[in-house]
Amino acid sequence: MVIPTLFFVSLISFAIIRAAPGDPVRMYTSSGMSKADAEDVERIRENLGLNDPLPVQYVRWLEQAVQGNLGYSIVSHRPVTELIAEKLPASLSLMGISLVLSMTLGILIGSIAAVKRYSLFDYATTIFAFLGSSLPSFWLSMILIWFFAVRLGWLPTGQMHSFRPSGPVWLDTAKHFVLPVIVTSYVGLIVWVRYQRSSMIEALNQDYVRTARAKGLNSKAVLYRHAWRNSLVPIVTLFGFSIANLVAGSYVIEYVFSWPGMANFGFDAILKRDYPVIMGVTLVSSIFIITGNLIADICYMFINPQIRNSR
Amino acid sequence: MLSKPVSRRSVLQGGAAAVGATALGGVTSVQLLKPQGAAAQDDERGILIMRGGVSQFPPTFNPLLNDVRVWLYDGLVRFDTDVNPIPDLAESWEISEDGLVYTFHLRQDVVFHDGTPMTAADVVFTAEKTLDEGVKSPYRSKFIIDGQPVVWEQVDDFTVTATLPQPSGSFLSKTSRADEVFFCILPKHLLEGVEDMTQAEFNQNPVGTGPFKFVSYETDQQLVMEANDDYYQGRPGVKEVVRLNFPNEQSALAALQAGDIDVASLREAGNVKTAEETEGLSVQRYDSNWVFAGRFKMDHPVLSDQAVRAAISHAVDRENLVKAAVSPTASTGNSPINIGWAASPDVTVYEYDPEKAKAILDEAGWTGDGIREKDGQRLSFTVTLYPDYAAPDLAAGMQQLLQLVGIEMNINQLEAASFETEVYQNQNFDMYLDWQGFGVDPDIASRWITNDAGTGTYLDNPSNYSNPDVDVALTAASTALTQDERQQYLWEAQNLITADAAAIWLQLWEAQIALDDAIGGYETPGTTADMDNTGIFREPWMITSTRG
Repeated sequence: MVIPTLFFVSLISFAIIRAAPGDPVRMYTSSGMSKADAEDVERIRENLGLNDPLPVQYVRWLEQAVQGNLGYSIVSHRPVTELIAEKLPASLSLMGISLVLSMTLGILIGSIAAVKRYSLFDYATTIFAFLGSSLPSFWLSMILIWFFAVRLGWLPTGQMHSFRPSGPVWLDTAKHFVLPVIVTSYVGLIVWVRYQRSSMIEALNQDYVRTARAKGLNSKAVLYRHAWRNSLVPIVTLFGFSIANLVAGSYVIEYVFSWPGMANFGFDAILKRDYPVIMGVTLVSSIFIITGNLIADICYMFINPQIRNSR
Repeated sequence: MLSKPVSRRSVLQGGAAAVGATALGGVTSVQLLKPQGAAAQDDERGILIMRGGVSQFPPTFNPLLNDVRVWLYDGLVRFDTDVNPIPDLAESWEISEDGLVYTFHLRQDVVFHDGTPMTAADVVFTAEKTLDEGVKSPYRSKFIIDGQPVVWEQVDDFTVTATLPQPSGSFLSKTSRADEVFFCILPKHLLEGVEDMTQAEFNQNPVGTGPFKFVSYETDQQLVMEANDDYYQGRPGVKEVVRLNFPNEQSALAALQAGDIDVASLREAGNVKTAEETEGLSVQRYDSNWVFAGRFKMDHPVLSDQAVRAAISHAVDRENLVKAAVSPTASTGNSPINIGWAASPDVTVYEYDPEKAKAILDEAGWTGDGIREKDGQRLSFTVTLYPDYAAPDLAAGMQQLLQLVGIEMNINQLEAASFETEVYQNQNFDMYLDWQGFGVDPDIASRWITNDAGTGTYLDNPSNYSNPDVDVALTAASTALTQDERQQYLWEAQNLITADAAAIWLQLWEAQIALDDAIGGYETPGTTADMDNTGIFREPWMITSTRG
């Protein structure tokens, strides 16, 4: 399933980006406000093979991509794989931290809210989640930057590390992570909270929970072993969905925080119409999403033996 | 950041004044001058941290492939604040009587960053690589005159000749490393055997002759350079230069205010005001020859009428609109060339006069209440633009002012890359707003000369402006041998173009640079600006900093 999906993703993104107006050579040779000479632009387009028919260009790209060569950036002439590899750690660390944080916190808060249904905590959680789902992440980022970085000056406005940090390097890097991690995990958190809350409520209403209680098991054991563990089964599917969300969301977050990651790099490539880079970034992004779903399936099998056995 | 040693500051000013004097006095004194801010010990020099910005970091550091506006390289000549050529790596030059042969005498004391002496072989090599079709250089056409390449030859170790197929008044500027030309002398010994220039290891590890040496670059994030103490003009005043990326002006301003960086170029009026009001910061300004203009499609059913174009210029209060939408200190242009010896004093200026606009339209037969009409044709057109900071505000202001005299202007805003294609390739517009100008040399021919029928897909003159008299004047200007002669033809061309009301000229590019008081020794480039914050300084090597 993975290979045909990737093939279609590449075909569609190739079609979309080439259907959009714009020309990479014109963009990178027009430095500042000046316009490159017509002859120079034409010659470079010819050299790069951009004047060939589109299907020919796509097949040429595909042939190389299958062999692991994603081509060279039209702008910087460096191998796309090398450029992405350079940018990937920054994206992965931000996404990884945010995923772990939003998942653990979300499951915790959601479970408590379900157990203490209609309590003040539950209402507060609902309002929080409702607000969260209606606030765009770029807006939230800008407010946080304005308050914590510009007004208070406690945290940096963006990027991943300072040039010559005043304190220890790890502290400086940690400070740079704070705001983007807050925004990224907050957006994920509310989804986890809402799903976990309803899943836990459902579990608590099950017959086996009532039976366990009737048996006289202590309520902690009932909550943990019977209700909570079972509530996690449907939640695991959220994992794949979360990764898709994180990858999509990173295009906004990385831009706003000037994060040196792959999404920011890909966004810049779109503005410059750097076709090979756009194709590469799209492909890697979709590999993440597909892998996320694959992991979710595997976890689901692991948690719920019924599925494993039926296969 | 707030307290600065007074003695240091006054010394810096002395240094700046000395540079000003050398520009007038000629070359020899430049060699004697050493940055006064720099003490004997390396450690005492400060470092300079400035805003880079994603689009302002070069894609590669190889000036054959793209513009490299960092202080790594030198050209053969440079320009003073009045746009007169002065020596750079060539300490003198002669031009043959017929204007065809340029002989450059190179300095003999210049070494590349790796210690290898710079010689005539490097100059010829750089020129030949620029002309090599296999090297994907976007600057090849700079050395093609009338379809023929300029021939570069080495005479001896330090003498080079360039033979032109026909005289060209702008040729000398093309041997500089100025904006739009980027003729940066490259080390032959490092690039000689390279088969594919785009894959050269040099591109990520550049070696030049300029005042600073490359140290490290983290793609689109941070560039570090160190002082080249063997720089031929003298020892740089700072030991290190760092350029950092900021996602937007606000965050660069915040970093300036926090003292994290020393220099950032600003565009938004509010930010400039904040910088001016911040203690320890000052703002330097200069106008450039780039003018933001609306160009009309000359075969458009409405805009082909000179009366309509003139009425548009009269109906728009350009000066106040520019001050309101762009910056209170911005200047308004009136011609394709607005500053310097090439700017004509006799252009037709369309002052703000809505009554006159109405009268012109009435007389030309455009009548009616509301939107005017003529022979069933509504006086309506669309302006195409991309959101280059003030452009949407300017267009909105124009729309309102034009409505008052009965002209309907619709607005079509595109993303930058789409704009490039729609306007310059597809020529699909009624009127477009964009910057028009030039780097060093006032060569405006390509934007105003009649397009050859059926030539290439990309046009500098997408509006199809065509006036045979302008063609004659601009052609004569480009082959004229003396500046006086060029000036006469360029003035004539501008007078004709403005009489045609062939464009509506709005603001001049105003560079506004916020600087920390810790920085000294600088001189802004006057009108010959590079359009980027490395062009803030004329003599980067003279900059000093008290930042440790």
